[in-house]
This record gives sequence, structure tokens and C-alpha cells, in this order.
Amino acid sequence: MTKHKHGNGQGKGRGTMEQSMTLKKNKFILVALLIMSTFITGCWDYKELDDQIIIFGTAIDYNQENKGIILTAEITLPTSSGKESNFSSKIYQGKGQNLMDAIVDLQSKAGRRLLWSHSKVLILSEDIIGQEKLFVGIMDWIKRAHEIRDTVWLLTTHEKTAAEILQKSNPQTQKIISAYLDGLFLAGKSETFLDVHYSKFIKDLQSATVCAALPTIRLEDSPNGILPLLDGTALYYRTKEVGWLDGKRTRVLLLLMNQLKQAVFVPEPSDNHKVNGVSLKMDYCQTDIKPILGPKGLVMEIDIKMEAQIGEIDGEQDVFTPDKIKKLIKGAQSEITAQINELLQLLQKDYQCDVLGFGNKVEAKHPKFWKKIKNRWPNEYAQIPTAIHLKLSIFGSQESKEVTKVGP
Amino acid sequence: MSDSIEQNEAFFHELFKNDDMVVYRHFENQSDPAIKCCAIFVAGMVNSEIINENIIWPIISKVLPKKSQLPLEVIQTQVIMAHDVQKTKDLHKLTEALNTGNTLLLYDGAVEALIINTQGWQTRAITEPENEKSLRGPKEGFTESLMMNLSMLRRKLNTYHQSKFKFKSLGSRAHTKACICYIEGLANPAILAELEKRLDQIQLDGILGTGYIDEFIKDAPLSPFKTIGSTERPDVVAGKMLEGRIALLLEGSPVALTLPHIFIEYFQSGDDYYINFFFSSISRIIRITSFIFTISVPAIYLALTNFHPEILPTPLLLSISAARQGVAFPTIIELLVLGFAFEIIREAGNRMPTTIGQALSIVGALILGQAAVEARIVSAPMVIVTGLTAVTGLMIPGLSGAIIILRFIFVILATFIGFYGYIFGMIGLLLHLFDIRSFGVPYMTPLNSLNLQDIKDTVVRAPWWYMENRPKFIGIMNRVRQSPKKF
Repeated sequence: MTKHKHGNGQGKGRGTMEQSMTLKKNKFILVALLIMSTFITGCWDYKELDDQIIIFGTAIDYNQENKGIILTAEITLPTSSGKESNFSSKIYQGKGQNLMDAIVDLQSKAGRRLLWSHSKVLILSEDIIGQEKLFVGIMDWIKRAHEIRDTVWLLTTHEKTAAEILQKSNPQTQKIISAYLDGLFLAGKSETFLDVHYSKFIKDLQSATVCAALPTIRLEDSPNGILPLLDGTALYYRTKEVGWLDGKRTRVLLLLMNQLKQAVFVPEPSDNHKVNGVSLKMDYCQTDIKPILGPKGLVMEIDIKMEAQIGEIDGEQDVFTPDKIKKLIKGAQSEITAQINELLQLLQKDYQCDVLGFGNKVEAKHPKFWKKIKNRWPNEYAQIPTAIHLKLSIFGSQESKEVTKVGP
Repeated sequence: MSDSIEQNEAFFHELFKNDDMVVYRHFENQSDPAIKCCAIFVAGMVNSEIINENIIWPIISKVLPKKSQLPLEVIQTQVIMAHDVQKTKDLHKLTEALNTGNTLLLYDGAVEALIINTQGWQTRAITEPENEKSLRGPKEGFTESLMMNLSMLRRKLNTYHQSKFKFKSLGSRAHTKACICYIEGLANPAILAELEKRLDQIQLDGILGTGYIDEFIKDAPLSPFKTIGSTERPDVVAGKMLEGRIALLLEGSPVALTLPHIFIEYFQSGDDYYINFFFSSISRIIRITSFIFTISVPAIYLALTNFHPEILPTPLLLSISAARQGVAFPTIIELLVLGFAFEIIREAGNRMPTTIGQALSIVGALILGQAAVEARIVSAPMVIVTGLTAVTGLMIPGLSGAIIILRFIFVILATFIGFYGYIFGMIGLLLHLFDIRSFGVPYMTPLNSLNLQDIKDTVVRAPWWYMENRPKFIGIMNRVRQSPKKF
């Protein structure tokens, strides 16, 4: 047979025999290490998907009996028969001294390993937020557990227990409640609730001045069953709930937070305004809050730019004359400004809750001034005057300028 | 050899004892029966017309000079009407000539014999190669006849004297004729010398196909990647020779070898150069993505579902989880079983008469696909994964061997440590590819280059007017491809 030495011709510069021997030895060691590390490190992370229970959402309640935790989890049960796949969910409960304990309990009840990485929502009851020790433990667990994500949506409820939301509600468009809520948050078109995920909440919670806020969920009866309804915002100072804003006020809050992208403005029925019954569809809202340090002291200047279209005209009226449009704008502006003023009054005087982050803004813009007032910030906050500059422009109608009439 | 025709014939009789293919034909001149000849040839390898009309007829019926004035030289120069006649007494040459379709002419009184070229055997007609079809390129492919192949090549390369075709006999017992083809001034003499050196070291008794040579002379004998290219198309060979490569053709093999062969050549199809460069670039990108897909998809699927389910979008996770409910085997077993089943079908399809092909596809699609899913032996996503892997794997025929091995290695690595395993595998693959060479040319040339001129014929095929230079390293003797000067 041929004794063919490969690459002999190109062997120049490859070193002497000894060098090539060490090279070979090194290569062997390298390959051995690679193979060894593969086999030593491996395998116990191998988990079949169908051996795991996918947790989609959880609700946490305070257990009065043993001063512990009740953990309610919504788990999915994907099944497939022939060509169809079916997704439904089941509710399991685990109890324990703290969250870890409750998870162990839940796991033994569920019978399979729990997969947390696709957990979408975490509903915290009023009671559990009030229990500072347990509550901090929950927040800490989310931070430490490597599977659950920092983007899990947090929400709270004023119902008796948080578990109820998962147990009772029956959203008609989705079988899995958590997926329904996740879809609502992800759609990003919320007008009546905030979307707060863990990383944002924990940041606000740890901040010295900013007030943390959570969206609230409640159950509403309907002929087809009980519906979960996201509506309103709960405001917290540390773990104490200092106030609650309903859906309408939440919309104004969102506007001030510059998180409102699209909104519908329906005027309050009153006799004050000449142009009534014209609803606006806001397509663009831009809010800018600037702390201005003037001769009279600190003033928060709130600049809002809004662009809107005419969405619906109730009743037969022609509003498309320049004159009427002007009136319409004026009326809407003053109404929105009034709403903002009311909310600011509520936040500053009644709740004393800096959810808009005025403190941070002052600190960023006027650090020297901030050092002076830092210690008496809660008192200062309630006193800060605000100046609202709202600029609303209406640039057209949704479809046509024709007035919808009944009969000739 | 002696000067007696009887003795010489008896000698050949003795030499070719028990070989009934050898025919001995005696004849004498009509007017001078002393002029005795004997033609020896192998039946079936000769063109009998030439023997009849150009050898036997002139000797029998021509009026020839007296025998004393008629030496063998005169017969060679004045009587035999054949284009190639040689005179020799070398027995080795004579027997070799006999075996390649030549006729030996023994002449009474001469110690030498004539070798007359009367080759004429049946060959396959020139057809388009099945494996390398072309839309706009020439529709001819190599056949088993070396001379026919070389003629096809030579017609394409009218380079005055610069095209060189050098014959070589390979195989210590079977003596197969091979031809080294190159263009002088373009091919690197160092590579040429190295090729000849390696060819000379082959001591196997018979070389029946170019695949034998490939294995003997390749640079990385244990690598699944080829460092010597192969093609059935004369236009491809001509194109590669014009880039400075060397081709090796073998009698009896319709596949020519070209060298040096670099990695990117796997993805270059002959058709790329005939169709619009936009389209050929797109198909090249598809080929390269397919290669990456076919080696990666099973490993990535395994890593995603069993190690890193958090990366999957939730609806996909649910759907995979639903499909896996009730499946008996772990994902890795599913993957290996289904992959193996596909390889069985592929191999069966290769070996089977075409008439049964239809039945095979039904068996494959229905029984192995649908029924296995419904019986919960495998899950539905796995069928998709295997299907995608299989389709993309079939796109690059030259790489299929390497693909099977790589896919398997990646899957095993991913089974142990998920994505890390896959990445380790990829790193290892790249290290290997950058490590090996083909006749001194780095295998991954010019993929590591940042020069636009170097990479113009790699992932995309640049328009012809932009390809000013020959490929790096390979066309080192004369880099300029486009020049107004006539060579």
C-alpha cells in the first residue's frame, strides 16, 4: 500500500519534529479537555418540555391562619389529539411560611417540575403588600430566581383575595387568564391602566422620592360569566397604599407620564360648553415636565402637545367651521387642563405621592437646589406650583367633513 | 523476438494462453506469397474497418516490391494506411498496445513489430450530467472515454500552445491512463510538481475511478471535507483551469478532479456564471444558509426545547409542549430515529430503480411521517425539523457526507450542554476549516479577506466585468484576468 505522507510539500515552516510532537500532544490534551467538559458538565440540565408544567400566572395572598403565604398558580395544560392542539389552564394552590415554602408545596401538588420562565403576570393581594416582611421576600425571590423574568407584569387587586381573579374570572376571548392579561399589557394601548413590570416597580419602590404604582384588577359580573377588568391605579409609599386612582384619572396620569399614545376624549355632558357631544381621538400626545427655578421659587412646567381628530359627533351639528373648531379646541383644552389640575391636587395634597417623579426631575436639573430641599421634600412636594401649557390641535376628521343626519 | 514469424506468433500464443479474445490473422501478398504478415488484435476493442481496409487490403492486393527490398520500415511508411504507426521490439509496449485496442503487425523476417492504432470501441454518448444540470450553460458532460473528454476540454481552451495535457499511467497492475491538464503560465508549477509527486507515490494495483485518487492524494485524509474538487462538466473544468487550477482526468471515469479546491467552491455552481449575477448571488446565499441550517437546525431545536425553553415565544412553547404530550421517547432519541429513517429512505432512493421511486416517497411521507406522528412515536415539530434538515441537506450534493457527520456531532454536543455544545461544535468546525489546506492553499480562502476584489466570487457572485483578478493564491502566477493584451 502507499505510504503517502500528506502535505509534505507544504511542510516548510511547520517546525521541527519535536515541535510537532508537542503540538500533537497539546492538540490531544485540548480535544480531551473539550470532550471531558462536555460529558462532565452536561446532562442534568436536560429537561424534556413535556415533563415540565408551564406556569402562566400567579396570585399571592396572605394566609391569616399561619401568617404565611397562599400561592395560586395558573398552569397550562397543552394537549393535542390528532391534528388539533388544545390549550387550557388549571388553577393550583400551594401554602407555606414564605414564597419558597409555598412553591415547594405547589410543586408537590402539581407533580411535575415547574417552568417559571414563561410566567406572565403576578397578582399581589392588598394584604400581602401590607405585610412588609413577606412582600420584600417575594420581590427578592423574583430577583434571585433565575427562571422568572424581570418583565413579569405586576398588578394588585382590591378583591378579597388575589386568588379569586384566577379562580373566578372567565375572559371570553382567551382560555388562559394570564395570557389574556399579558395580551392586554402587551397591546400597549392602555388608557385606563398602567403597565408595570417587575423591574420598573422595584426601581420605584427602592427610590427615595418616587411613589410606586400598580395597576388594579377587579372582577365584573356579566351575563356570560365573571370578567377580569383592569381599571385604575394603586399608589404606594413603601408598602402602604396611599391612594387609588380610577380609570379616568389613570388616563390623565398616563398623559402626564408621557405614556399615553392614543386616547379617546369624550367631553363631560355639561351646559358650559357651546360645542357639545363631539368626541376627539387623540393620535399624538407629548408631555414634557420641566422644573423651572425662577425668582418666585420652583415651578413645575408641564408642556403638553396633543393632536386629535374628530372621532364622533353626537347629534346633527356642523362643527367644521373655523369658528366652531376654535371653540371646540378651547372647550377640550380647558376640560383636559381641569382634569390635570384635579389629579395634581390629588397627588400633591391628598396622597402626597410623587408618582410623576418630580423629585428626580428637580435633582437632575437643579442638583444644588435639591440638596437644600432634600430633607423636607415631602412637605415641599405638596407646595410646588405647576403651570400647565396645553396645546391641542385638530387636524381633521376621521373620514369626511360631511355631517351625519337623520332624514332630510 | 526472432526474425521468424512463426516463432513470434507462437510466442504470443504462449503469452496469451487461455485468452480467446486475442485474434491472429495471417495473410500474404497476392503476387509475392513470401511477404507474410500476421495481425494480432483483441476482438471488440478495434475498429475492424481500419484493419480490413488499411492494413490487410494494401498488403494483400497491392503490388509490392520483392521481399528482400521490403523491410518493415517501408511497410510502415508506404503500405499501412493508418494515422498512428510505431515500430518497436519492446515486449512490454507491444502487450500494452494490444490491450488498448491497437493492432500488432508481425512481419516475416523482422525482429520488430508494428503497433498500429486501430482503437474503436463503443462509448456512451455525450449527455448532460444528471447531478450538475445547467439552465443556460452547455449541456455536455464528460463520458468514460478519456480522449473524448480531453477533446471537449481542448475545444474550449484554444490557448495556442499554453494548454498542456500530460498523460500518466496509474495503477501498478491495471495501468489506467490519466491526464493532467493545466494552462501554462497560470497553473502554479509548485502545485503541479506536488501533484505529480503524490501521484507517483500511489502504488495501488488498479485505479478505477477518480475517487480513488482523491483519497490517496488529499491533504487532510481524515477530514470529511474534500480538498480536491470533482465535476462532470467540461465547462466547469475549463473555467477552473483558467483560474489557475489543475485538472486530472482518468480513463473510464466521467468525473474530473480539480485542484486546489477551497471551501467556497462547494457553493459555486457552474450555472452561477451563466445567469444574471443577482440571481446567482441569491441562490448562493440560499445554498450557504441551507448548509448552516442543515447542520444546525436539529441541534438548535434540541437545545431550545430541552435546555433553554425561555427563548421560545410562548405560543410556540405551548404548541411544542402540546405536540410532545404522550410521545414515548425523549427528544434526542426522536431526533436520531427520525434522522436515521430519513437517511435510510435517501440511501434506498439512491440505489433503487427509478420505477420504484414513487412507492418510496409514499412510504416515506405516509408511513414514516404521518403515521409515526399519529401513533405518538415522534412529535409533529420533529417531523418539520427533520424535513427542513433533509431538504436543505440535499441542496449541496458534494457536502452530503460531511453534513451527516457534522449534524450528528452537533446534536450529541447539544444533548449534553445545550447551546454551549452547539457553539463549541461550531467553533471546532471553524477551527478545522481554517486549519486545513488544499495543496498549500488555505481552505477558507478568501473568506477571511476584507479586500473587496478577493471576495467578489464568494457569498455573492460579482458581475463578470468586476472580476478583474483571478482568485487569491490559486491564480498567483498571473492575477490579472481581464486585460487588453492578447495571450
